[in-house]
Order: sequence, then C-alpha cells, then structure tokens
Amino acid sequence: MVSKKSYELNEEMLNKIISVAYGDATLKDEFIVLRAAKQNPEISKALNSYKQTAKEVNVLREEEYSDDLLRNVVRKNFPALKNATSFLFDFYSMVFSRPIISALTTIILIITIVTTLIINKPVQYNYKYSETEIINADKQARQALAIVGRFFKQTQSTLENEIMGERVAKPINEGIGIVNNILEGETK
Amino acid sequence: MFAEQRYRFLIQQYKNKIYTYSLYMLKNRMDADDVTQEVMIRIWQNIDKFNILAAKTWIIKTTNNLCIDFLRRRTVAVKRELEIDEFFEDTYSKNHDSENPYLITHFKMIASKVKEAIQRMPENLRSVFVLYEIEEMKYKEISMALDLPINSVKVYLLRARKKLQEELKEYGQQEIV
Repeated sequence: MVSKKSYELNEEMLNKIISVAYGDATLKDEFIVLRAAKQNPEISKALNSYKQTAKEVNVLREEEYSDDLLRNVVRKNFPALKNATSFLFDFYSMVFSRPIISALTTIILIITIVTTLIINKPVQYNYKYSETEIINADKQARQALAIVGRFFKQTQSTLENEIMGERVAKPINEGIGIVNNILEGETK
Repeated sequence: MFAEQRYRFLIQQYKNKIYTYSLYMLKNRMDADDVTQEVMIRIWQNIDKFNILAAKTWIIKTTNNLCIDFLRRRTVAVKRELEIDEFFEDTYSKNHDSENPYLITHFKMIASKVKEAIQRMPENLRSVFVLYEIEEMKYKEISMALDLPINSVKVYLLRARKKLQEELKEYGQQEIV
C-alpha cells in the first residue's frame, strides 16, 4: 500500500518531477510522479509547469557561427588552409560526422571478418587411432603398393617382350630389309 | 596533409558548439568571437596531439578555460554587456514553421526570456546547463570537460533547472496578467 506521505510535494518529489519533466527520469520515478500527480493537484501543477519550461528549453538550438567569420579567421591565421583539397575532408566528414555510416561500415567489416574466418577455418580431426588400426592401415598400404608394383613389373615385361620386339623392332627390320633390296637392285 | 583535413573536420563539427558556449558564458558577441577564434588556433596548434574521436571534451575544456580567463580579466570599466536580444540570433523562431506573426513574436519573446534567465544563472550552474541542455553532451563528457565529478554535474543541473524555473515564474505571471 502506498502511504499518503509519498504524494506530498517535498524536496525529493520535486527532484523527481524535474527529471520527469525534462525527460531523463527512470521508469520507476516516472510512474511514481505520474501517480502522485493524479492524487495531488499541487504535484500535477508543478509537473506541468516544469514540463512547459523543459519544452521551451528543448527548442533552443546552438547559435550559428557564420561562415564569413570562419573564413576570416582561417584567412588571417591559416593562409595555407585555403587551398586544401576537399576530398579527404569530405571523406572524413562523411565517415565521422554521420554515426549511421560509421556504424554501417563497422558492421560490414565485422561481418566480412567473421565470414572469412568461418569459411577458411582449418578442418581439425580430433579422432585418435588405436595401435591395431595403425598396423592394419600400414598393412593395407603395403598391399596396395605391392599391387601397384606388380602392375608396373607386368607392364615393363609386356613392353620389353611383346611391344618392343613384335610391334617396334620387327617392322623396323622389315623396313630396312626392303630399303636394302631396293638399293641392291639399283646397283645391279 | 592529414592534419589539414582533421582540422577542417573539427572546425566544421564544433564551431557552433564553441561559439554557443562562449556566448552563453560571456554574454557578449565580440568576446565570444574572440574565444572561438582562440580555440580554433589552439586546435590547430594541438592537432597532432589528440584523438579526433575524443576531441569534443578537449575542445569544450579549452573553451571553458578561455571563457573563465575572459571573465576574470573583464573589468567593470570595459564591460561591454549588451541586452541579450542584441547578440543572440533568433535561433528559437527559426525552428518554428508558423507564419502567424503573433505566434512568431510570442515564441521570440519566450526564447529571449529563457536565454536571459540562463544568462542570469551562476557561472557553475550555467556551464553545466548549457552543455547538457543546449549542446546535448552526456554527464560523463561534461564531467571530463569541466573537471567535475559526475554527481556534481547532476546536482548542478538540477539546481540550474530549479533556478530557471524560478526566473521564468515571474515572466509567466506577467504574461497571464
């Protein structure tokens, strides 16, 4: 139950009223003040009064320092700055003066880095092989290599005995014999 | 080469903040011009010494120190205090689209009274109030710029708001009459 005392316009309540009026109070304080304002017309009046002032203050803006004055200051104190190129300045202004662009650039960079890391992540095998599996794998590798070796030996003997003798040496001999016969016929 | 770009960026970004703060603190357009110019020179002299992203605090701190120096040096004889309406632009009325002359005049009068009331605040309350309400700085930034604990910043702001309310109360009563 809320005590009657909490609806009194004391110093603590006034501080809360001011914060609520200027829009920087916590939700709890806002609730307390709005509730108290319903119960106590004095609090309601103070709240409205401070809200009105806050509204008037919130419309005040920064005073404008004219570009003419700025140009005079620059001309007088920094003559070299007059001809400064504006590309980098524009870039600086674009990136730093607009938080949304800075935020977007940061987000895009982070997404790119994270994606690259995920795609290029090296594959890691954590499986541990047992002694028997290693011996078996070794045995299988030897067998596979032996089979391959046998194929090579067979190919070599086939090349030497059948292909080189029958298909290469024999036609060459026959060709040379024919050439000899022709040459002998010419000399006669 | 980068120093020039940094400088141009900082000036464009903070010239109005420097000028507004000086104007509220010194209550004089010519002095505010002088302080703004001096801050610009100091920014150029220190352009390589501070981080561009943390420059705001440094700039406001420098502006505040220069304003304090100006206020100390100012003597009664050379006091050039003008009526507030003479040196503040009509920044309030510019923010309203209304073409109703009565409303425009009304808004101008209120803005003028609020600005006058801010000017009548004690120096310590005024600086915190202007930085928080008009320059929209955070408690932490104000604390760093003015070398004050955050709690003091909060207390000063609360007192400044109360003071402003008191000052405007009289004007409100006059308007009702």
